[in-house]
Amino acid sequence: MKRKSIDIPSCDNCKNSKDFFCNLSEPEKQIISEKKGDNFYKKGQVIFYEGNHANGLFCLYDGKVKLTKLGKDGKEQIIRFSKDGDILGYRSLLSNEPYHATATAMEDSYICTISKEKFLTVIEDNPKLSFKVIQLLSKDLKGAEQHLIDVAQKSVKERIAESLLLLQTTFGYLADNRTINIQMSRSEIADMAGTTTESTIRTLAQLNEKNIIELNGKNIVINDMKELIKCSNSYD
Amino acid sequence: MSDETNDMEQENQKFELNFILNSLNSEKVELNIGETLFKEGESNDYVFFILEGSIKVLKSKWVIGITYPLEFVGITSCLSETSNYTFSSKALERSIVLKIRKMDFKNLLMKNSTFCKQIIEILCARIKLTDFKTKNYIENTSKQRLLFEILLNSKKDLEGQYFTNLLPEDFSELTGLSIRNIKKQLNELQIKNLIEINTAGVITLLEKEKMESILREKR
Repeated sequence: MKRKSIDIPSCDNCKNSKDFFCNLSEPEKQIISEKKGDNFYKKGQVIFYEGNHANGLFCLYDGKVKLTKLGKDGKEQIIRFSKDGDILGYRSLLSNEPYHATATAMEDSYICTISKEKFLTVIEDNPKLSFKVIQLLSKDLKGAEQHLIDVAQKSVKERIAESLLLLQTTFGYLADNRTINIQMSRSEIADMAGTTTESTIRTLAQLNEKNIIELNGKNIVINDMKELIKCSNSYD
Repeated sequence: MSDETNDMEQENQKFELNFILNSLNSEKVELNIGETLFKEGESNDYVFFILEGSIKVLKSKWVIGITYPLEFVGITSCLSETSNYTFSSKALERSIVLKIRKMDFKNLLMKNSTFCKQIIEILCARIKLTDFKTKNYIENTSKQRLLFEILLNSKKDLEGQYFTNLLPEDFSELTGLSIRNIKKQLNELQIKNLIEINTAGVITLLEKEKMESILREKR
């Protein structure tokens, strides 16, 4: 798992410290930092498996991670993405259950590991952090419910358009301000949208033909955001 | 964990939550069947805690789920940055809810770590269920989707028999299947002696384990 040693700073100097851990006091950040592990994961490497015993919290310092659940037929379903500053595995720690999904690095990623005991102790002693956890969970729930509605109610085209919008919202654009800042295979987009790879290829080709998007290998350029939103039939 | 242990834990939780929530200046609201609790787009000034009955949660015409006693309604809207409810909710049967002001709810979260833990548990369970429901839609046949909702929304009577009061219309909203399809599937389940439907439309689960086994089958 550990590929190379990198210079990830302590929590009080972290570039992502405005996110989850910003409510910790300096002494609390030091406690977290003390026995924090730093690991490098190559693209495609698994950080934790669905069903494994949850013994730590993972904080994504730099990179992109996808969370997937395995279906009955062995097919993966992408349920969530994580970017810089996001924490992973917290729900399993809080509910004292095994990891609910498999976390896989979508590109070379640098991840900090914080032990379960330290995380739960800091949460217990810090009401503001508990509240932040609750807000995170609430946001996750909202996302999960929206995904349920999308899968149950939307057509394949609407779901794929929605998936592209979600990717753009989560990861933003590259410097050109048009290319989504993540490379996804057609089968990964299919997993997100809950459909087949064949339907995904067909739908992306249709969107490309209408110049709503532009396909550039695994890169996807959004040419017409308004039209893409219309295709997704989004409620909000 | 056995059903009895589950019931005891639920009773303890209910007592604790009730005790905590009654310390707030909250109001008990009674709802008749079909009555709206709040509409999508309305200002999200309150969170609701279900004491009795059941509440249907909808997004446009789509039923996300049904919430039962010990559960909250409006919690995600309250904790988000939006100032409006993003869902609607209606009473599925005669219900009693505790109406809690959003600020009181948030203040309680900031001060009471026991309450925080309870909310964390509730939210974790809801996310798990929602992910499971999504998996159900993607992976399962229409029969399995219906079975899933029947099992999820059934409760135990005093004799230990599982039943549900939900109507074909409710299952149609939950599964996205037509009412005609639902009625046909229910009829087939009855013929196979997996369920029994009485004259009032109450569905009794005769072979719960067998139904769970069908649900686990691959497509």
